[in-house]
Amino acid sequence: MKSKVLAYNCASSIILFFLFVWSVSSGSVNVPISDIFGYFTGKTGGASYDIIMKIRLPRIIFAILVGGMLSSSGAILQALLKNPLVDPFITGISSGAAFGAACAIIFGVSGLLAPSIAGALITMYIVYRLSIVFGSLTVSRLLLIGVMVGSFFSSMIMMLNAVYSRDLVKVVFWLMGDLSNINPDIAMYAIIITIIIMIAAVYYANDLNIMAVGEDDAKSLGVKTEFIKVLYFVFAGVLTAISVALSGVIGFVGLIIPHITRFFIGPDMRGMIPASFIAGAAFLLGADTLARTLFLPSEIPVGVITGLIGVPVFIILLNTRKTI
Amino acid sequence: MKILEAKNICYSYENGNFSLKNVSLLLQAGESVALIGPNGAGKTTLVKILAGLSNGYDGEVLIAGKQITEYSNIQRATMISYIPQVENMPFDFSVEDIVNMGRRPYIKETGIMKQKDRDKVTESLCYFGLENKRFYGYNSLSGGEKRMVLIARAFAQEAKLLIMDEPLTFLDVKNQSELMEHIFKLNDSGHTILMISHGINLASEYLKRVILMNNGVVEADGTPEEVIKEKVIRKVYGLENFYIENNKKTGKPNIFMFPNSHERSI
Repeated sequence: MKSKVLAYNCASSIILFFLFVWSVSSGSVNVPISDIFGYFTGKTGGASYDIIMKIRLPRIIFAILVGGMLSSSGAILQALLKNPLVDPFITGISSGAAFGAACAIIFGVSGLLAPSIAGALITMYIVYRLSIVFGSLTVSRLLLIGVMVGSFFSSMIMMLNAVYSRDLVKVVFWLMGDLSNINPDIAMYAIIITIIIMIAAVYYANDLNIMAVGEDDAKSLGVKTEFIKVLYFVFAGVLTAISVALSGVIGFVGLIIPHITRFFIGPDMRGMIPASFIAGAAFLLGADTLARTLFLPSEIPVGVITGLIGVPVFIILLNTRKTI
Repeated sequence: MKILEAKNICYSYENGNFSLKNVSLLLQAGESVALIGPNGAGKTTLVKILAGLSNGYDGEVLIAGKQITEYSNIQRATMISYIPQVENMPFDFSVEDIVNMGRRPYIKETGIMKQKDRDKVTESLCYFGLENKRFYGYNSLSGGEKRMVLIARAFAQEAKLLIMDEPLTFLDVKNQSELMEHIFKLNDSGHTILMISHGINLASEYLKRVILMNNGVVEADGTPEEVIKEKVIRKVYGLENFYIENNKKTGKPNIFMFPNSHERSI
């Protein structure tokens, strides 16, 4: 198992490195790779220096962070809900977080993280509770309720926006995701919280594995099931909320990447959580670079690219399974 | 020595559909007990309570003389192992991964195992003939092998009381026989067995005690000869087209069914 995880992480990291170089060099101004290496080894000045260091590099770092967070969050949700078809977007959690953040902006609440986290956790609780019938969770019900709740919050965001600001660009940002308007104020908090969550998530991942086999199994083996459930729901919710506060709702990263990662390294969450992070980072960086370079000089929201890839993948996954 | 004692267990679901009514039973260490009864009799509800997996019941469950709720999850896991019915898993963990999980009560949250834990896992895999399948995915195994993996996990867990929920379901005759032989061996090696079974004949052949439940109460409790009687079976299952005869090899009571149309044609 360990060798598979190591090989996968090495491959993802190499892909991430090449995507990084491609992303730094590509855009409305193409920068030669030799100049890029020069900038990173101490050279300053030049026409493209500011473009790379002040515009592209922060955006790349956020793409890596957001991709990693969404993907890890998806991997955690899939294990918790024992179903590889769920992700933060499909379960409506991203939209709940976006609604929290949108409310904060419109009503002038300072700080985006707390309202976004509150939106994500409340939505998660509502969707989870509504999906339980006679004491057991029904995944088909969870997916349907998740999609409905997601649509509801999307509508609420559009309504709030129409009433209070009438700025269509902001609506597109929240509903389709966009890494061009990153809020640097929350970046440092985001990085610290993400590091803490990732360490804790890997530490308890063996118990999450046992939970993914079955809750009765886990209880019988001595796992504190309620603690693990709440802990990982909070982890998934907070990771999603931070990524939404940074970049709006970007769908399907948390669906596709954990699935591909599991295919290569197996379902052990001790490997899955970090491996999904690296692969998710690479995926979103690639998607974002495409989003900003495909139709130059204009760019499209990155959520359009992840949606165009994610929806067919979701349908393929659905068709390969006998049940939801 | 008493290993498990249930006193006046009462339980009803939120929708009020079903309840256990004052169920009491006592298990001595080393016993092998089959819990039989019609569908909906309350067998699974009862064993989940006895295994410490369900709350919200009235009455007491004592493990080795102490209230089950006084034990921590980990302490309980070293004494009782619950083996559920798991046909397929949502994620295809390997056989070794599943058996490793049996060591959870003895290791930290990180799941890092010491040499003695790894040795116990290897011993469990060999004991149940799974050493060649240790890297196979659980979902790719046959029904019989899947049951073996879960029992191997319980063996690795080193709990002396094994509670099984219908381990014979979906197994063919050969697999049923093999599984019961293993359960018999486990009982011989000092494990106490409590298993739900719809296979009354196999329960009669392999286990020393039978508890018959119906409508949330214990209808009969004793040796197979004391419980598997025509009058009792007729009353509990509402069955007419059967007779009971002792197995010529073992002398244990077995149920034989025949179609209603057979009597008509005669």
